[in-house]
Amino acid sequence: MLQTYAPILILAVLVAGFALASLVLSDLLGKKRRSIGKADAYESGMDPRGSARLRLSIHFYLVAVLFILFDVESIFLIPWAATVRGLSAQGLGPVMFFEVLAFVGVLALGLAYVWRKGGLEWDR
Amino acid sequence: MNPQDLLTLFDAAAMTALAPLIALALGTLAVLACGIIPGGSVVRPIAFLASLAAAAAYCVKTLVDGAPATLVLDGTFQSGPTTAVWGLVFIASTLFAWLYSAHYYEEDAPFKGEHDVLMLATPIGMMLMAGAHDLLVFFIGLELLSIPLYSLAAFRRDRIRSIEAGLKYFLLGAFAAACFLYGAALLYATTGSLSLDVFADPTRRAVILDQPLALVGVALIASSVFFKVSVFPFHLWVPDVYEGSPTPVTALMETGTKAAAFAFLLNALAMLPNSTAGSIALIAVITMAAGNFGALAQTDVKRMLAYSGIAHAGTLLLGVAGSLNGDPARGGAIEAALYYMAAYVATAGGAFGLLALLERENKGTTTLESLKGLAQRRPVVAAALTLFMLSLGGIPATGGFLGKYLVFSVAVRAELIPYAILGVLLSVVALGYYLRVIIAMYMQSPAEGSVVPESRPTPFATTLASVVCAALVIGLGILPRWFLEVM
Amino acid sequence: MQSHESHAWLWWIPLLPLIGSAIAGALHLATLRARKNDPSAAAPGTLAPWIACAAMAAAFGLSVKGFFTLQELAPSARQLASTVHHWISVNYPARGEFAVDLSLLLDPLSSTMTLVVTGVGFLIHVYAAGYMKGDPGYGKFFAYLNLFVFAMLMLVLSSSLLGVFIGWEGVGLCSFLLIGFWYEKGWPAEAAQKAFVMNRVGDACFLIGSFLLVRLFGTLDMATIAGAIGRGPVELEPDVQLQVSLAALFLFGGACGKSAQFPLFTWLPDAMAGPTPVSALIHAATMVTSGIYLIVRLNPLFASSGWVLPVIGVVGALTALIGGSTALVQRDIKKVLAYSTVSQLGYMFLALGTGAWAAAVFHLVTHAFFKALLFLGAGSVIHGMHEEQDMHKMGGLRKYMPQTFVTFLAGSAALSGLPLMSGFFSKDEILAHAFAGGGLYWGLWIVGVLTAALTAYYTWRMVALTFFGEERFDRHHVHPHESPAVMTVPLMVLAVLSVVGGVLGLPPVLHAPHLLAEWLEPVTRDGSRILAERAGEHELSHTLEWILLGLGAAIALAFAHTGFHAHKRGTAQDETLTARRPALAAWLADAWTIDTTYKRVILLPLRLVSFVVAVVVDQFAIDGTVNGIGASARDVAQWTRRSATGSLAGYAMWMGAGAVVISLVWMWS
Repeated sequence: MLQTYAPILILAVLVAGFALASLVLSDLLGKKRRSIGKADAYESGMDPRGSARLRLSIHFYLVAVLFILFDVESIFLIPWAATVRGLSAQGLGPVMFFEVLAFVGVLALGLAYVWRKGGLEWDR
Repeated sequence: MNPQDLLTLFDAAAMTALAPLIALALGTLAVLACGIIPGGSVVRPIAFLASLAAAAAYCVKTLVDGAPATLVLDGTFQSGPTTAVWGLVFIASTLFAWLYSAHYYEEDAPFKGEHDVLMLATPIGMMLMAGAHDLLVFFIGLELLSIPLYSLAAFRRDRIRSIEAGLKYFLLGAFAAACFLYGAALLYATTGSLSLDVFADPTRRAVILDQPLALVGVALIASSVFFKVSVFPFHLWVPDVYEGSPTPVTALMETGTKAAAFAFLLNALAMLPNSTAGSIALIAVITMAAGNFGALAQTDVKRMLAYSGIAHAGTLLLGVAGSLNGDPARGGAIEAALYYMAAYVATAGGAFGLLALLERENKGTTTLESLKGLAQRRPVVAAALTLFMLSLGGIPATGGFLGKYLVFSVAVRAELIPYAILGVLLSVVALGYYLRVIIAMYMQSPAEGSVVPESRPTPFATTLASVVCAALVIGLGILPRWFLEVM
Repeated sequence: MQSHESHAWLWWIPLLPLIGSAIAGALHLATLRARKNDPSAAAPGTLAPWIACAAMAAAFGLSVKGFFTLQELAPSARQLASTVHHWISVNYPARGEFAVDLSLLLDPLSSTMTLVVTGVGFLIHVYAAGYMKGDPGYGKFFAYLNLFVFAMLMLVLSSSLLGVFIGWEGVGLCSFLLIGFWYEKGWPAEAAQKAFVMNRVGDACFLIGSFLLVRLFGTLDMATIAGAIGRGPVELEPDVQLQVSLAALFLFGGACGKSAQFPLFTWLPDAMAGPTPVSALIHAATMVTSGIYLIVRLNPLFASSGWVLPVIGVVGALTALIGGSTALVQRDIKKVLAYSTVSQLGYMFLALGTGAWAAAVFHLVTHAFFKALLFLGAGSVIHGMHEEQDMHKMGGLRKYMPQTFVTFLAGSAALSGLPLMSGFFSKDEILAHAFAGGGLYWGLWIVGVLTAALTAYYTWRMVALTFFGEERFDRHHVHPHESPAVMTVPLMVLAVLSVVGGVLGLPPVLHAPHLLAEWLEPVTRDGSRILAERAGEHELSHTLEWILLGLGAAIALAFAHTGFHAHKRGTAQDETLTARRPALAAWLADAWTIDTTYKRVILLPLRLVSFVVAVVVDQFAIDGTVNGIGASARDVAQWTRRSATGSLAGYAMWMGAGAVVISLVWMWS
């Protein structure tokens, strides 16, 4: 039974080996020029020192929220897409069609709303 | 399940039950669309009212048809007269809040469209909660109600208190939601179902409620509902949030949300072990004490009403405890709660609405100090506010009296007599602060040198809502039979 | 009672003043509103007297119409009734139906009363229009005054005791309002309260009396009650007799309160705190006579009540004597008139005690004329003297206010019973009846004669002190002046009535008809018949009557002369009395110390008890408990409030702890 999990184990080993190998090889082969900036912890491009309470433009959040909204909604389309063929074959085609039309319609209304209100413009 | 059977779920009974929800949902989309079409701001109120009216019409139709209560949608949703009356209560609550909000934001809120969208979404959530026969359906309702309310609480972005209210409500609400989900998960773990059906069969119910894990799950679910209805010790957020939120939104939270959560609690009574009646009654009395004594110390009238709302939640919870302890027919607890909430929607809705009106005039919060001499300045407003205060205090010939009477009698019939006595005594404490409002308005004159705000003409929407509220308060007070028969 | 066509117009007699009152009240409110922002604004209240007087004039006109309508009927059929509403109807299975109608009855007696109330009332209203000018409560005053007239008319016109009682309470209320009209001064408010409370004692008696009547007769309709007794046997069963006597006694108790008889008279002198027109209308001419009206209205009841009649006579005589002797030494001109009123009301009760119903009403009418006149005259003096009421600070006013002086003289002559004046005939008739009664009544007659002497003395003392002698006021500050015509014209009308009013009831020896007695005969017939059958007819010989008339005239003249000359030169006589017999003077001035005794015997213990209840029981025991609860509620409240700290983490912690505790409790329960 455990054999069914063997490919996963192999993948895990390969991934770990690749990551480890890159780190070790670059340390062995690469040039070493130390500086304060390089010695700092990496924080996704943010300055790791000073006050953590940075002020960011509200637009970041707006875009992030909008992205997540439409991103998460579109996930619901996947189960629909996965079942539409089979269910249509059973004669539920029209139901499936109008169902997704309603769903997308609501999404479209939301998108239109955001667009019309200028939510998609960075600088307004 | 055969995929073909999916269609049969949406039979006539299900559509009847869903019709108000669909009407409101379409209305919400229409109101949203009004924000981007030309001339939308003119159409918006019409769309809002039409949607509420259609939903109300469907509810009334259910009542008139008199169909018995049934479970629809694979046993996840209840349809029937009780749900319909609850629906009417929610619609009324939303309508009052909306009418009072019509002029509340006049100067400083350009986002009235968004406000209306959010507000119209709340009764959908409330109806889902009230009709839920399945924990997941309830949760969807809960979130559908809560998320708009979080935004609405913070709607006055220019006021730090409003933002604070929104944030607090959101964080603690998330906490409560987590509680609920955890509780639901534990119940699912023990019963393998999220439906309340599992409690329908007495033998099976006994087996389930014998397991500690299920009991913890039930307790967590109850805790999250207690949060929504603001029961001790889940009430602490109420004063801050109610005070900071825009007053019409406070009215909506105070009336609609509370009613929806109580509706669910009464639906899901089977979930609670009968042995919990005592502890729930105790919580109820402590809640009443916390609410009433808290209100006694307030000078800000809105905050005082927030505490008073806590006390009212305690009173209703005593009725819930009574129905747990009582006979299987529940001793009229649902009727009592319906009556109580119907009266409360009109009373608290009207009271908060008038506060909204006064706030606009005072350009700030309404304190007991600023109410002084109101009877001379605005006799009609003072008279209406007096009526609402008397009803909140449970003075006979007002709806508040009969609601209290019914709830306490449920408790007494269930032999929770000591708790009922304590509750009545605490209601007397409550009279203390309700009367203080009346005294300030009628018997005291403004302090020397205080700026008397100029009276502005009362907006039509406010007048309309107040007249309807006052009529309901009096009608429920003197024509109880009529309303009880409708139920 | 025979069936009559309905005379709905009767209702307009009381309703007109009621409407007038409402309009005057509205005008007053309009004045207040107008003055609120602008103190110099035009006052709609100045229209109030026009409205009020018009209402009175119209009511008087209707009363006259009622009088003539009655006169056209045969004497025994002189009744006009109007029922608008079957007010109360209760069916007792055992006793039958008890019903009270809202109905009016105009018969000779109520017609007489209505004429007096509206006629004299109209004159006083006109006078008050001048007297009250400039008062801030001008409109309010006329609203009250008209309201009073409405209540008084309901009292005299109602056909049932319940209706009478409503009017009875209504006049009491208006009396309270009007005595305390200048409540800002303090003492008028106290006087009003005193009047109200003392009247309540009487009212309680009235109620008990009417309850007894309901028990006896099953109705409150006065005509039915009077008829039932009048038609019944003269000698009653002992237990019925007792109940009748008790009912009569209690009703008389009610009359004592309203008509200021011993021992309930002490409120009337204090009631002089009200404006003078009020004293004239309410406390001389109309309200205080309602007790007499009540007894005459129910005369068969009182006639068959046995021992109650002598009691009434004794109380009346005693009151007459107390009032008359007290009036001797008063310095306040209104107090003299007040005690005089008490005394004259005593005469009327003395008359009732002898069964002389018509004589009592006769004296009531003439007294209404001359005492209203004297009060209004006194008011005119007070007005001219810049609100001075002390006669010792007057004197010599006759040359300053000649019209007031002449009319005052007419009133004084009538009051003191100088020959051929109205008071002469009415008082003499009463004394003659007392003399004829024999036995106990002789004693009452002697008291009556003595009081007549006192009356003549104090009346002319008052005239002398006020209008003659040296001017004892500060001439630099007080400039006496005649009152305007609106005040003096009513005085003149009343003066004429006071002089010639005697023609209503001339004594039999003059071989002229006793107009009033004949007019009232249908009402008084039954009572007089019962008395005659019980005690026999008393007829005085002509010679004896001449002697009595002459004696009355001689006494009046002699004492009027003495009183006038003793005080013509000033206050010396009063000072002599005070100096020589200080105890007697003080005793008289204090009205035989009755009021003081009340204070000591009733008021002080009552105050002590109420102090104990208020301070010891209430403040310490009850308030302490209540305040303790209240304070602890506040403490709890503060604690509760502090629990709402505003800290989000704190709230979440409480919630978490709550959820945990609930879970644990439910797991173990």
